[in-house]
Amino acid sequence: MKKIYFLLLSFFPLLIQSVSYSQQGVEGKVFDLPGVVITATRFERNMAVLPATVDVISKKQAEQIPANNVDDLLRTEAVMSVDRASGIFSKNASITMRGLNGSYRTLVLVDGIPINKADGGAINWSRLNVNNVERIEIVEGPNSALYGGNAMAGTINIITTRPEKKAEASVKVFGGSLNTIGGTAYIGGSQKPDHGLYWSVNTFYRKGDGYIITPESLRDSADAALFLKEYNVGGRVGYRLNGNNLIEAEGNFYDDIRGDGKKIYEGGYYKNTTWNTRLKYIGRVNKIQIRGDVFFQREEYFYRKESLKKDKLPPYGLLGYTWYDTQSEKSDYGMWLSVERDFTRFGVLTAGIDLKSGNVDGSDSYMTSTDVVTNKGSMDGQAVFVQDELELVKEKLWLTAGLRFDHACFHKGSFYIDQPTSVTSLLAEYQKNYTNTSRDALSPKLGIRYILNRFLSSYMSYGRGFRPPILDDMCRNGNVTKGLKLANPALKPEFLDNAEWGFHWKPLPVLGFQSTLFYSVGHDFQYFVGTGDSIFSGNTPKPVLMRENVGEVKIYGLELKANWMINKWLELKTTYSHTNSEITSFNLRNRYKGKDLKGKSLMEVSPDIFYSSLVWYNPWVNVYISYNYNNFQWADDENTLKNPDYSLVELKIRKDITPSLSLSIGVQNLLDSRYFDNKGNLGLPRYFIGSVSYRM
Amino acid sequence: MLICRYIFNGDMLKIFNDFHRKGWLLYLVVVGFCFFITTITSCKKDEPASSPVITLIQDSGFVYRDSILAVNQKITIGITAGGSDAVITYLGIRLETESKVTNLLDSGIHVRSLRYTRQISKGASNTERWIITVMDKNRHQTSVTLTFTRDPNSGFSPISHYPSIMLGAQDNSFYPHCFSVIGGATLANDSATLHQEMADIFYYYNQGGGPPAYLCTFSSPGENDAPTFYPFITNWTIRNSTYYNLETTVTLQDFRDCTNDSLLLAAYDESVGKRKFKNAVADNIIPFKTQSGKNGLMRVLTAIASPQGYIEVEMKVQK
Repeated sequence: MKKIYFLLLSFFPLLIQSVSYSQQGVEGKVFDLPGVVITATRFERNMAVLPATVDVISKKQAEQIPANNVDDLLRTEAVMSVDRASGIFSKNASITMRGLNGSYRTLVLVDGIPINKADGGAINWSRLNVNNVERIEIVEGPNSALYGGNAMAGTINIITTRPEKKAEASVKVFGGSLNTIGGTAYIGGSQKPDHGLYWSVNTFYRKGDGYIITPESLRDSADAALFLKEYNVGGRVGYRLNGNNLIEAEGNFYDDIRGDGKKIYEGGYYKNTTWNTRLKYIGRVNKIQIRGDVFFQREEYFYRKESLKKDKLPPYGLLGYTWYDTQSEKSDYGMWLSVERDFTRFGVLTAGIDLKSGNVDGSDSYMTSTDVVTNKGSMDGQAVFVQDELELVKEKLWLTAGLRFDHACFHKGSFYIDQPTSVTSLLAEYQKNYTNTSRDALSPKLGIRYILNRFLSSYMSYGRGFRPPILDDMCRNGNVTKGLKLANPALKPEFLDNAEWGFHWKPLPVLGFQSTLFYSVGHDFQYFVGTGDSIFSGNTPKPVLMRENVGEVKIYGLELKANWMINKWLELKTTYSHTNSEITSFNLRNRYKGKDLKGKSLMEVSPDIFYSSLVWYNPWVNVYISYNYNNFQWADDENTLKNPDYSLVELKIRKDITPSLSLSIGVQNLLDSRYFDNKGNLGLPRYFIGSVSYRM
Repeated sequence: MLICRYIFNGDMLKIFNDFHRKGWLLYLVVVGFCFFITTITSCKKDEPASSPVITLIQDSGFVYRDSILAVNQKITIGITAGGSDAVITYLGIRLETESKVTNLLDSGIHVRSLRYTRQISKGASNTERWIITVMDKNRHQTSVTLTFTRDPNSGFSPISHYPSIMLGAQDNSFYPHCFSVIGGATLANDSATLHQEMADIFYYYNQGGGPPAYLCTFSSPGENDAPTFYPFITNWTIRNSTYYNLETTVTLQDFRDCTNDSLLLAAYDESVGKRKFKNAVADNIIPFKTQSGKNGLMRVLTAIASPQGYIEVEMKVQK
């Protein structure tokens, strides 16, 4: 306790200084944040009246942070943990927020377009160019009433840069630890800021040698350093007819290759090639505002995996060497149309129709046997939604109510093996065309925001979120860590009902606090359950498993945030969350076998997350330093494997030589802390990146 | 220090601003950008492709043509493979008879060339098609087939019948732990060490603590966990492996009626042979095959499950 008093006392002089600073009428940087967001309603809204916790990361803030990927930015504003243990060398990142693990439980949009894939539910964070981010909006909590699937824990909208000048360009080159080098470039132009043609092209390239992720005591001759080579090219062209109408087309291409840390002969690696295109129209006809998007995303995923099983010795195997290539073509496409009209007396009404489809055509081609295992499946979804925002008491009380109905159909599902050998003999009996199945989801939302005075406001809301089943669980059979996984085409969505109560207190123009209490109940959560059958693989029987809707969960938590512009040079931001996620029921329905997980905590969720950053602005250099603490996490559903807590410190020093030219050095894991990801792999050691950037 | 002074005293900025004002930088950015895109998206040459070549070994002692063989006749077949531009990654052997198809070997490898030999014995079926397949890393496959027809004049061979074999678990000091199928006798530890080439079956009781628990277990000198219970095996220079089928359709009556090796040949499925038979209990019927190629069937008569216990089996095996 003495320490806390001491800390409070030591901050007291700074608080006095900051009061005097705010009384001088100097606007603090905490209010540089845009007051308008799009993500909460699909159209522009004043953040202050929304019945939700909304976080915004501006481009200016992003430039202060030593972020090498877009997901590195997320933990700085919202309360979430980001699992990217190997830094830029990680295969992908996974985010956990509101006590729910997995990126598939968070909807991610780029310029309002969903990029969660139907096959796995997650997104490829690495393909997003961090230098192309204009701002990120994060709406915490379920928002399926507006967006449908995946919007359970929150909705993240990454808004990218659009040209505003007649001609603008930027280049950046960087290099750093683990032989990392790369660069980014951007050129674009606009006839006029709010009228006429605009265009832009951007790209990034990065490569590096990585490090060995297996802990020293467990290494063998097959362990190799991770490596990375990736690039992206994107272009956009648009035309602003006038202030109200805009049409825009965009295309992006991304390609990478990432080592998996194993090399027996060929070396294992991941490769993703992604194309995405989009056509957007935003316009106004009389009092009706319209937004329409047509989008297409295609990913070619490739994974080369090698393994060596020492128990397969002659005469039943010469080496026990296995090498297979997983290839998967995933397409996601759709059309979203939303309209908005201000009826004044009856509020602002937003309604829309969303069509979205996803399909997967995957195969495992064995190079050490003749087998080719194929899985296919498609999911088509249609949805209608309506939302009304009503100002009940002028400039005091706002009500938001919404409802959305989603219908999705799984079809064209199949699983087959071509030229089978004993390697895939266990899967042979599961070859079939799957029957078509469908599922529905109804997602309501209700919230009120009350502004008590200019210092204090509060909101209460109820909302439902859901995440649809992923195609991988519905049409692919194969080995997983725990056993043999069977496809379940009848899998249903999982739902989360959430109630929350938030406060926003701004006692000084330079000091703001936010707190949110939430309580969520989850239904039909998907877990692996045993079918009762076992297969013999090697010397031990493995259970035959299936993903099924068997779990009920209860999550409650508290989030606290504080932003403080201490004086004109110093800005402090702090976020803290405490979450309790527990499985309250595990219903095997007398059909399935397996451990009853009732009473277990959700895996990959840290009960406590703390993040604090201090930015020091001065005429010479800007210095950013942050501290991030993540409490322990369970690494498995059974709560037998525990990842210990860890802390990371990051630093960035930035010098603007001229308004156009700047130098910076960023350090991730400054103290070289030793930590592990959920698979027991070593986290990124201290990692420096120095860069020179020029813009005009 | 000089670099810092150069950067901060304005000289560099002056040059830079000149450059900036004249628009050269934008030009450089565009040119650099185009060069960059061209470099990173340039195509790579495809790897040349040719299939591997398999040649049947025609040395003395090898059978390399379709032949007529007597039941249980032992022969040696072999192949050499290579000639592909890519490394060979798979060797497979499939046996097709009138009644079933069995993958006898599906082995991942990573070699430029390969020589593989195998001793086989003609089974009970009329026709056997032995298909040997080699595949390279580009999935180009080549196969050769040898067809062996059963000699109509040959019959099934007689078998040895051992009505009662007593084998002690590791802490049993009364019964020996090892059985020699070739010799038809149990072997004490010293005798087994002296005649390593004759030791085929070891018995132990595993209650966990080291390897996972699987209680009454039939093993062999070549099995991984056997030295945990019989450490003297570690130093053996010959460690035979006996393979057991964990499941069988052979009934107790079939076992009793068996008077030649036709059932023994048919009962054992080589593709699912394991080097341990775990959790043995009374009345288990266990097909097995020894390193020397002898097929047999064991019936468990009694199993006293403890490290001091023993197991009693009745065995029928090819002579």
